[in-house]
Amino acid sequence: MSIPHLLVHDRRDNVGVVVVEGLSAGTEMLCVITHDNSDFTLTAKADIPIGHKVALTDLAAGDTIIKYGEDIGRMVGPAETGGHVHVHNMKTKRW
Amino acid sequence: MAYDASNMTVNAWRRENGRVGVRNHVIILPVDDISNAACEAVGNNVKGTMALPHSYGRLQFGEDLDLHFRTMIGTGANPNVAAVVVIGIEPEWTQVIVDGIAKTGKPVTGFSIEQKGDFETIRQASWKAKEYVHWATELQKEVCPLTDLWVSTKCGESDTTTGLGSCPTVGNMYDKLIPEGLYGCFGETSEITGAEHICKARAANPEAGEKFMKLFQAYQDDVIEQFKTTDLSDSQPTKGNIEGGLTTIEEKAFGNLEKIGKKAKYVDVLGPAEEPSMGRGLYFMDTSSAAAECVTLQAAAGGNGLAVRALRLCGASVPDRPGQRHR
Repeated sequence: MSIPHLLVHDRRDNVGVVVVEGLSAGTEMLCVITHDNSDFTLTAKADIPIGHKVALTDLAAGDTIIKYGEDIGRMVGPAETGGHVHVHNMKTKRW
Repeated sequence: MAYDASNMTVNAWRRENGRVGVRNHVIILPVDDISNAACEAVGNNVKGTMALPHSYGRLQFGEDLDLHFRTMIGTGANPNVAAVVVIGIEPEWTQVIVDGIAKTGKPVTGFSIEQKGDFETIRQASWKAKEYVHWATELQKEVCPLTDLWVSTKCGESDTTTGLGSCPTVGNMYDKLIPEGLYGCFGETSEITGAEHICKARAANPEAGEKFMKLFQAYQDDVIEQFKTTDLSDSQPTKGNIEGGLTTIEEKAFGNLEKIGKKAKYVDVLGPAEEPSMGRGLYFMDTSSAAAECVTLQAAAGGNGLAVRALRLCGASVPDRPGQRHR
């Protein structure tokens, strides 16, 4: 298998983590779910830094973000499939 | 191939109380902040010693003072330390720390500055430190079971890859060595926020789970709710965490908990710098998530190895822990 661009912890997750440097918009990403080693492909819609999250599905404000199979917060703005999810469009539910 | 963690050994120093040390320090320990300069002078005079200056020890009382004494005594008692010179401004509190450390059976002597001044104190303490270095240098390592070590863990400036790589690696170590009898310790109460239900579920018994939830709730009620500003007071995740891709404290918490593996369960919940008393196994300790504070408390409880995992390279420095400056 080639080196993956994106790792996803759990099959239930709706975001994955970029694990390569210099990922640019339009890249056809190899994505691997670490829980069961399955893979799929997804097109990056933005230049996204290593360590940052990518939406695996279209997300709208109010949607819950699942990572590690758990609730890690909510969207406060939209992200399209393959788009960047971070502090500009996502927030904790606790505050 | 199945991995066999039994019968692994480490060359280390067996201390008077049976604990095993992987370092052989002679430390110069201040009782209070105004004795820091004298301790550093002794550390400068006698090569092979290490002064441990800090900012505490004056005008404290009650639970706060208890924690200070426990931390200082625990630091001197740590098996990575061969012998201790204690310097305080007054004789009484100096003696409290000397007596606490002496229970381990290791050499320890106290000096107080009042009535004799810095120069005379430094002179006397330097001679004692020199004697201790001569003695400690001749101590021989012996082959000890790896699981005689107490290995604690602490996150260091996390990003998203810590939940993918380094934390699961530490967790894998615990999953293999805790069943063999290793002592483990994790903490960082504030960085469990969002994953507290998972942490509760990892207790080995209902009492430990309830004990964890009680202190977690007390942290929320006493520290956070009364003083919160905006999104975790613009403090958690840290700016470095956010640059690394972490967005929320919940996300950080789930990555954090990967450190305790998939199987290991904690047998008890400890107060800050409290020594484990339930035998071998994994413990949760109520600690700050600030690196230097957390590892100081874990070391004072007796921990002698530290599995820090960090991609963003934090420089937390606690001198009697191996891997202290992980750059």
